[in-house]
Amino acid sequence: MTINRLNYELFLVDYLDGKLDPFLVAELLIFLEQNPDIKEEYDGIQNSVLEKEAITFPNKSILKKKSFSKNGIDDELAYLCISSVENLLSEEEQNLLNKKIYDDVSLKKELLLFDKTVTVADQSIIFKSKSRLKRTSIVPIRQSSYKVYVGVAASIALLIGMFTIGKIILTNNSINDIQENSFSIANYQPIKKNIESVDIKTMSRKEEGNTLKNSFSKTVNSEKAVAIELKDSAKIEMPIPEKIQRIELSELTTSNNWPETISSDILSKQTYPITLNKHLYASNDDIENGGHIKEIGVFEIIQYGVKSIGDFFGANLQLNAKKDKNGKVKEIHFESKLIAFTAPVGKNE
Amino acid sequence: MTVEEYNKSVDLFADGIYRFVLKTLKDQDMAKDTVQDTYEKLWTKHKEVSYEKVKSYLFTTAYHASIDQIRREKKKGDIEMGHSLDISTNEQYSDVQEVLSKAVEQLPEIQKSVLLLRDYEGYSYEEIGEITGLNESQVKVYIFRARLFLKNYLVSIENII
Repeated sequence: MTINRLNYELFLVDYLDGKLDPFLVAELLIFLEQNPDIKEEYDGIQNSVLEKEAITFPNKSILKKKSFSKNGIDDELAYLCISSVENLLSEEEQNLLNKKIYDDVSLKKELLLFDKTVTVADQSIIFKSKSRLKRTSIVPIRQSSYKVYVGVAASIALLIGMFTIGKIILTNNSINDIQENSFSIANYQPIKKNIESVDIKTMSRKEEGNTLKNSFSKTVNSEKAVAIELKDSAKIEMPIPEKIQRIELSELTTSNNWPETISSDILSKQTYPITLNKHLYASNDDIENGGHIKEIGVFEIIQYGVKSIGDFFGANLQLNAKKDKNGKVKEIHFESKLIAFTAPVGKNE
Repeated sequence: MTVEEYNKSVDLFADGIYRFVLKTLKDQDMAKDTVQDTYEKLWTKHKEVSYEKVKSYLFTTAYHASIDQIRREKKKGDIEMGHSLDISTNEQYSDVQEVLSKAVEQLPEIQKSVLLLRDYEGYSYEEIGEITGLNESQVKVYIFRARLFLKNYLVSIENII
């Protein structure tokens, strides 16, 4: 292509950029010599080419990204904030964090957010059944010592029990009051049972385990029995819980003449005898099952004595027993806040 | 450890263990059972465990029992685990701790456990490591990641509200 006045600019720009073919450079220079006005224009353009200045960016380091990873955190600021929350910041790191926050106040909010990640236990959540986790002490005691300790304790409890029961009787001086007070032996919340009908034909003194349907039976082995008549109603109020029943009777009278039999006539008048002499309270289970009315024996007096001691000291002392079919104590179980034990009862045990 | 010390440990640590297990399992009955099992195990070994170490022993036992429980439940598919930032906008939050509580539930089990031991009980990394069977560095990493997750959760909630 021949350089002429119409196309010289294309060649001239390439020449200024240093991209013009060397063969054409010579041709272009000849052309410029032949056209002085264009040469003058070229000289002006040549002077207008900017040269690089030695200007540098002053703070390149802030633009650079650091390869950061500490404790599984890739972000340095997050690491510093978490370390601050965890009290793990070194002095150098603390200064770095302070500087970052100083340079950019908005980072303070970031730190505050990390501060809020500390969880606080809800103290209202508690384990309510701690008592079920606790254990009572097991103290090894030699059998001989055990017998002495238990004997002494039982004697004391027996004396206290007898004293308390005797006091009730002497203080109140009437069998009706015994009814009121002696049944507080159990000291439990009573329940009421209304006996709507008593379905029984006969009941004799010698009978054992004779049943009163929906009611209770009796065991008569006392020479002197107390006959109680329930005239207006056959309402029996019994203390419950577990074993003990309270019997509240509307009227108590003593009688030496225990009827050999009870006729249906008596029953039709809602009147029947209950032994009270030895039979102050009865087991709920026994009554429900139509079994025996419990007698107050030595164990029951001891049991009452233990309870009295507990009441006196404000402690919950419990003495219970397992009995065989004949009512003989086979095993006793004592329980208190501090100590509990179960022990067999018997000559060879 | 004497019986008295054992009973004292019940008074001192049963609540803390219950809270820790409850947060981990998210089920009251399972948490109660786990606490009972934990103390049952302690009782069988109470003569071998010194009173100074009892808290650590209890939390270690409770932690492993919880993990076992979670694995069993995971097989059943009853407990869902996840680490995705799941934020429900329908929730009404009264304070930060409530939001955090929700966020903690979303943490992976291991992160949740180490964080709870750290925040609730104030254990050191080393102690947490002993309880969870991790080394100190791993504990640190889990705690740092957990905090980062919680912080992001807080930010997300802030943005939503």
